[in-house]
Amino acid sequence: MTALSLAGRTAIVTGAGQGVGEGIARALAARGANVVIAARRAETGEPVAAAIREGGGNAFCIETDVTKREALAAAVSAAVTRYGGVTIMVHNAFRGGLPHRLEELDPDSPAWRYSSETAVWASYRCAQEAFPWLRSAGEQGRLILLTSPAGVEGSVNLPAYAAVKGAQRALAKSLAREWGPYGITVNCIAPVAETPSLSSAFAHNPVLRERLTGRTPLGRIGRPEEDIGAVAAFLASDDASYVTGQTIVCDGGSFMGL
Amino acid sequence: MRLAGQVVYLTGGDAGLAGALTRAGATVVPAPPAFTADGHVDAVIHAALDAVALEPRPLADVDDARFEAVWERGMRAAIACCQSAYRAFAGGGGRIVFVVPTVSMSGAAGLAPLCALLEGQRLLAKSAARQWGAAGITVNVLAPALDGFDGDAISLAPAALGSVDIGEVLVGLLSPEMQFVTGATVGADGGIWMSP
Repeated sequence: MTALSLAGRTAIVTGAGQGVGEGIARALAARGANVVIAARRAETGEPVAAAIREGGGNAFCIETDVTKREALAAAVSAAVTRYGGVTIMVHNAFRGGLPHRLEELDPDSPAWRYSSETAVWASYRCAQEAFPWLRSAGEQGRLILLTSPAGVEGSVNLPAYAAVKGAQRALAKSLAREWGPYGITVNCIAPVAETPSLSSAFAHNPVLRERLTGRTPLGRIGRPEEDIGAVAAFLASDDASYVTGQTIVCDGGSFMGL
Repeated sequence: MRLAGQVVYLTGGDAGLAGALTRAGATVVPAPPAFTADGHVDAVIHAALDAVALEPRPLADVDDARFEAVWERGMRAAIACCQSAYRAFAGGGGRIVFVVPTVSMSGAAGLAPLCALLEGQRLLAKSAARQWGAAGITVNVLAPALDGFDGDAISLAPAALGSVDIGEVLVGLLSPEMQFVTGATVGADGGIWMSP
């Protein structure tokens, strides 16, 4: 068994039907974790779960709309029924990210509402629903929130997105302090990765890829499983037991913070 | 009189903020976050914070009504304040300052919803700074200590300075010398939280 082995642990990954969430689910499963693919749509989540099972891993999909508390509670309860608990809660799902001018932002528009609901409200609800099980998992308990470099440096095109992604980081820091006595760690990953939404942005604006890779020291866009999933697997592992309240910016060096 | 003749709209905040601004020569107009200015405005300070946000509570015991009151209403107020300021500046530029205690950066047990709100505001300020720089608007964050939270409570070192008059720091931030500072967070918590 390697130090990264997650055998016997159970992870729920929201938004695992594609992109970064899928990459994280695959990376955790590859290291032996049981993985609950909490996807908004079964037609994207089921194939991910099936692929993990075909590779010898343990996974199942449960349709989960992260804006509904009962859906998150059902995902947790399904994980407990099938695998006996929840060790690792990864909240990755996000909807929103529509470019806007702040002076025109309507808080009842999707640009704000989806961002607030899927990033911040869902983080709060994922944390609450998973907490009893994470506490039982003790020093193996993990809450991992997917945020963004925009949540660190702000964004000229996406003020609402930057705000909710920053808020997730502060939630994580506060919970890291609050749950530290139980041994639970709480961290964020701020990735830049080749996802369906980024690919469609590239399709609309071909110079974007060049601009993005041009300002990235490593000269490429992150791969969801190998580059981002591996970092999530590290944070989930015993190797990261003493790391909490942190944001790992996983963007090829584009943003250097400290 | 470093702010002589300036009109400053102020949401929330204690008497210390308004007093320092007034002593520096500014006309202070108390305002709700969503306001329509009457005449020229030089600066808008958003310091309003609902008292409910400051009640400590483990996240497990927070209900949706409380989270709505702290996070959602707090952010909507901050957005409304930015938009009110933008309209009030009427294309002529101006200064916006958010007052955001440093627990937004340190986190605090029992105050997760508050910290989320504060960091959301701080990121809103950075994005507004990026978007509105071309319109001559600067947006900065003044970060005092959170009342009642010394360094020990958030497992940081105690304050290096015994007390800080953040009103004076605010006057400095609004003074002409600071015109090229934007998107910045100026820590004024006496040296509890120090940026990396």
